[in-house]
Amino acid sequence: MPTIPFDARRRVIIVEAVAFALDGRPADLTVLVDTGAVKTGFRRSTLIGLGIDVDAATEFLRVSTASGSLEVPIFNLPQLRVFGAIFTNLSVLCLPLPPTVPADGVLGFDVLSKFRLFVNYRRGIVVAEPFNGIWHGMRFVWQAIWAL
Amino acid sequence: MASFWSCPCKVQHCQKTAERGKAQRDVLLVLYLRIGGEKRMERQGEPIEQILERYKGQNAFVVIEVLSVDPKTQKPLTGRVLAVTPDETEAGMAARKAKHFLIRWVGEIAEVVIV
Repeated sequence: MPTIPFDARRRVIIVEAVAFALDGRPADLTVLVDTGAVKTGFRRSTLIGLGIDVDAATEFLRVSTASGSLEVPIFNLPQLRVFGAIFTNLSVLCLPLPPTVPADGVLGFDVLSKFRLFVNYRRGIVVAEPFNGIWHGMRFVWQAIWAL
Repeated sequence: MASFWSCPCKVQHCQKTAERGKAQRDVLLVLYLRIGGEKRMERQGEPIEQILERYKGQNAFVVIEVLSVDPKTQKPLTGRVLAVTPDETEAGMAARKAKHFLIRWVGEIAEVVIV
């Protein structure tokens, strides 16, 4: 599904994703498409719900945000399905997102860099097609033309 | 013309018994349909948008167990509430009980988001 609508009135690109726990339980998420973020991250409640023990992290990463620098734990997410593509054993951050941020997580460069992306802000459409050969490339161009 | 429930023998006591039997069957049928309907509702849950609308403005996370999804788009359609809490850890722990879940914030939304 490479063409995804989003609500442009919210002034952020929020798309849907599905994360899977180790036992295969799915969680429906809303995630922010953040081209400025280096890594993908999710909020604490989401990771706990997926059965990850967020207080037992062994790996940390110092991240710089607009409001300062902080150290956040890294976890292994068993599976993430976004833009119709599946990522397995994805390394994700546990982000201290304020509740007022209308999303469960942030899609960063590590995930977004696997796709060709086209955004039409006026119409509220994202076209995302994975780098999977010429056929997907042609499909991306076709979808982007329709999204113009 | 004799009804389906009446006895073909045409004896009065027999007809009365048949009428009583029909009434009892009607009561049982209504009970069966009502209980069955409630069970179906319980299994299918409530539309998720309706649930979120009910808790709107409470500044809390609503943890919903998804009970049915759209067969075409796989988007969640109906569910039931597992917890309503402002605490993220509590919300996550409640979500662990569900086979398929989603967590939504139903309070105020930030006007400006810089992540």
